[in-house]
Amino acid sequence: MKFTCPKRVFHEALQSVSRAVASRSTLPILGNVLLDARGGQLRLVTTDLEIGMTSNLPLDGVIEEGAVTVPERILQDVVGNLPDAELTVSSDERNLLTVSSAKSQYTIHGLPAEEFPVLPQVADANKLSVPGPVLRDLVRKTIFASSADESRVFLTGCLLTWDGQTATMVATDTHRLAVKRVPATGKFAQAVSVIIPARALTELLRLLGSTEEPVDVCVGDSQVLFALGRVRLVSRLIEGQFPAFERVIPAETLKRLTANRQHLYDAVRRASIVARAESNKIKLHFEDATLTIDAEGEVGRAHEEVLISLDGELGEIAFNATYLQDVLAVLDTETVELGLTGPLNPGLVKAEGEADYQYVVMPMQML
Amino acid sequence: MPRIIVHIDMDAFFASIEVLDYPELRGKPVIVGGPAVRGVVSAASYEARAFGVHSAMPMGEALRRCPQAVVMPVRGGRYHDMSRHIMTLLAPHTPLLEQMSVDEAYLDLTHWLPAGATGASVAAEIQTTIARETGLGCSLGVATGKAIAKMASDLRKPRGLVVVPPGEEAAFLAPLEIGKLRGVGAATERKLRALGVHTIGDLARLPATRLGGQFGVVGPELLALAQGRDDSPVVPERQAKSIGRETTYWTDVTERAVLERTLLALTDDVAESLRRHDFLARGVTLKLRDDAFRTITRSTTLPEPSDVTEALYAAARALLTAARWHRPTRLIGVTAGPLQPAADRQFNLFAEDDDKKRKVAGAIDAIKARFGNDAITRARLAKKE
Repeated sequence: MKFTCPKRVFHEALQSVSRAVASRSTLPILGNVLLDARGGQLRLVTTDLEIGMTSNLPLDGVIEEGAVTVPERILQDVVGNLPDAELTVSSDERNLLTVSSAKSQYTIHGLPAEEFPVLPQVADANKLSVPGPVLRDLVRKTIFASSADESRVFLTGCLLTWDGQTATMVATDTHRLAVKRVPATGKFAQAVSVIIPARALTELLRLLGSTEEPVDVCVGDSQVLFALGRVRLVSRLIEGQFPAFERVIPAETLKRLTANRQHLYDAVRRASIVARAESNKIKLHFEDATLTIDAEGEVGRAHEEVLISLDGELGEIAFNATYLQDVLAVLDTETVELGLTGPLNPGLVKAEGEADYQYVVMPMQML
Repeated sequence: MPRIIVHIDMDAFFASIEVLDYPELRGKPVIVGGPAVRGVVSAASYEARAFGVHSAMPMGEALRRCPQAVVMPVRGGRYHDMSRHIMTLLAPHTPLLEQMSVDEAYLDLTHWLPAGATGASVAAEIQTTIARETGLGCSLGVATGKAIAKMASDLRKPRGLVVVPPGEEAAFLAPLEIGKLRGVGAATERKLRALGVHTIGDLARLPATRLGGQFGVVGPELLALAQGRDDSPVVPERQAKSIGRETTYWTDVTERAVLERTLLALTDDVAESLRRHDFLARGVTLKLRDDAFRTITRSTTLPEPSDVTEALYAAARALLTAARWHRPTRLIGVTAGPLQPAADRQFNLFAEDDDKKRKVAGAIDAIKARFGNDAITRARLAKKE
């Protein structure tokens, strides 16, 4: 294998796939990146067997076709620290990779390309096409509600359903639940309902950045593939039954509090500083135009007042501050609505004018 | 400042309650236990003990030794209720009250002595109060540590009161038979006697290296205790970081079903204690000890903090399975912890089941509080007659 490529282009391509490299693995080759130069392009592949990433870099400078794998972190470090110039990259039959620029030459020990795992092919019978910003919204407004509890692995991801018209993403840790719906069309074969690992979606968000480009999402039986520009992210799906989430969303709430999102967020975040660490409990009392937030812990006490408009009777309820803070941080509207019924009933958070988003949060014991 | 620890142990607790409730039994050898043929002795009155009957003895053997004994069935609920009553009599003396079992408790009086009182005077007062309020006898030990206080209370039963003054712990222990030392059961005693250790004093003089590894983790503990060093604290459940129950089998158990049944009963007790003290457990620890004193503990975090038996037991049982434990079991225990206040309960979107279980558990607690502990139990724990 031999090709030439500007340092910056090569470095960017390496960075785009670096997140799927296994950091600690019993299989050393999973710490490597596969470089495969052929047919006018360089393909870079990484995988930790849970997720995999591919970047296809069009290249004029393929001099000799071939492939090799080398430790990704080392290669990225070397390339990243070279001066900005044209690089020549080549490998030999002993799997030695040589990177050279005008005055530098590095040789890195690699492993044969044949030993690198082949990423699974994902059928495209079900293929949604979603604008980048829409997909980003779908993920970031739900993923934070997923669980980190590995004993209930089906909650450590987000449920994606698609009926050909609407894509819905849902996440819950059983204390709170976030649901976002967006219009999505594409190649539709049958109703889709899969659980995507939160880890894969975190990487997706990173790849999405602020892209405006459309993203193709292929949903297979046991894998999902996201294709954005030159980069592809493939992830295994989580097996298991996602809880029946529809019935825990309150159809109606008796009391509705409307508040400035930023003011409410700031008050909740400050109050949580003194709340007892394990429970993070804050107490809300609302009456007329005032919401008071009180918290108490070993370190001291907090009292906050937030201006609200209240539709319904006065009342009180206790929440884990984190559960409110998380949702208030991802919403982007100026005002938010908190719908409540009683101190034991779930609360319903909505962003003003964003009917396709719902966040349900269970209260804590009030006493 | 040396500590003032009191150990109180009720005298022949179950048998004494039977005599209290059936006065015609007074002065007769009474055995609590059953059923007659295959059962074991749960408790024996001092009159029965004179014939060599003791708890854990097979009933057949007990009746051979003392054919004229009156055998009374075990009434756990009655004993439990009496136990609660006794604890309420102890509570005013110190907030540092640790109940060890149905008929045993420790009190730390170090900072809680009334003016002019001593550990001995408070212990004597407790003995009088309990006799007056319940009609039952108890024995007490006063010492600077829990284990020594317990050995002291055991020394002059029934209705004994033994005080070990600070500094005289080792001297007090030295002449006692090695089998009296806390943590020394029949097997350990045999091994120690083989080493020429017959009294606690013999053990205290034994170089640590002679103990070797054959006593496992408990070896150094035994040695320290024999030398009079005993600083384990009295921990009231109200401020406990964990709540646990454990039991030592009379004979080693290998049957999984028996282990599970014990585990369920222990877990039930732990869960009730959690509810009584308004705690939720965030995790569960399982403890197992085999016939060679190898002890293992396995811990897990609960998906949700809980105070219901079902959730705690499911976790404990999963630990038992995961431990791949197939050895003869001497001791099994379950501990709930770390704890958090129940007032910080986070409700669950999908857990109507759990809420129902909690309501059932609350109702059962209320029934037990009103009608006694035997009024209601789990079908799986009910005695098969």
